Amino acid sequence: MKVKINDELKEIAENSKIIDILEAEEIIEPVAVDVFVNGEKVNFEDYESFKLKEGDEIEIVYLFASG
Amino acid sequence: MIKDRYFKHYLIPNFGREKQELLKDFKVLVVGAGGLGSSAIIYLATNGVGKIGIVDFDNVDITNLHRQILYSPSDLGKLKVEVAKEKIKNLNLDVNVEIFNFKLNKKNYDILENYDFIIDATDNIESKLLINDICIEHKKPFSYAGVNRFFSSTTTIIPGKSSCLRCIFKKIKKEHKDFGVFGTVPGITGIIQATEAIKFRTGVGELLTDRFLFIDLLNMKFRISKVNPDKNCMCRKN
Repeated sequence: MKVKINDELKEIAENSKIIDILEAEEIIEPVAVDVFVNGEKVNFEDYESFKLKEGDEIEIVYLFASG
Repeated sequence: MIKDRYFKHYLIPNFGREKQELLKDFKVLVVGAGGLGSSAIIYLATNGVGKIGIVDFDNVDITNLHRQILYSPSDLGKLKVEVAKEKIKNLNLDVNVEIFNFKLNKKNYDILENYDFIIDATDNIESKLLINDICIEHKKPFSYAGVNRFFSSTTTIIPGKSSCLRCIFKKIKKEHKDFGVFGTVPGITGIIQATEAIKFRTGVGELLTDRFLFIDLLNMKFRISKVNPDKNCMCRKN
């Protein structure tokens, strides 16, 4: 299914959850993230259970630690 | 009009000589004189910020030189704060520099009291959270930035008014691996931090509050995400 991640259209597997998206983005290696789906903040406790659906717009905010 | 080093600022209609004068007694503390700190310090100094405090406990190492533009090969082994002070003197004699050769911690953070704005240019999450918490406690505005590989993020936090790091990030990894840093990433990000400090003092433009800027130099993308204060966060209880 197609979703938007930080404004980029991406193809992800059906029934993907937020945790799957975050693992796919691992090259960025943040120390923390904040995730919004269709403008609504998702609690971090729900990252493993929150199911994404076709057309969702996902926004990920990254916290980095190096300087 | 007299042409001094700030002449090009005087030509900007909403900046001008009046805003430049405000920087003369502006005091900025930069915590960390590494990649972020190098570029932030250089631009604060060249732009005429009256007092710059620098906190760092480290010596210049050869692995610093690809991104920490305050330092040269002849500085290897020297204390960063002392080299930085000398560099600022060469850049702008009008700047008063105060150096602190230690790691900021819960016992020495009272140095923040003497400054108007704090720049978090540290390289570890413990220090970033400490700066967040003490700036909230002491109501000091500050700029957060962090880098990793080709990426960085930054935001400006005005305690009691805008989202702090703990409003936004509820689960933060405490371990910190070194994933590498592309040389130009802290440079551009530190410049943004210096810009925010100057904008805070002069009141020009819109600060990067309640917004997180994500910089991706690999794909040359700059993205701003809106973030929201958490009404239950410790920063709201002060």
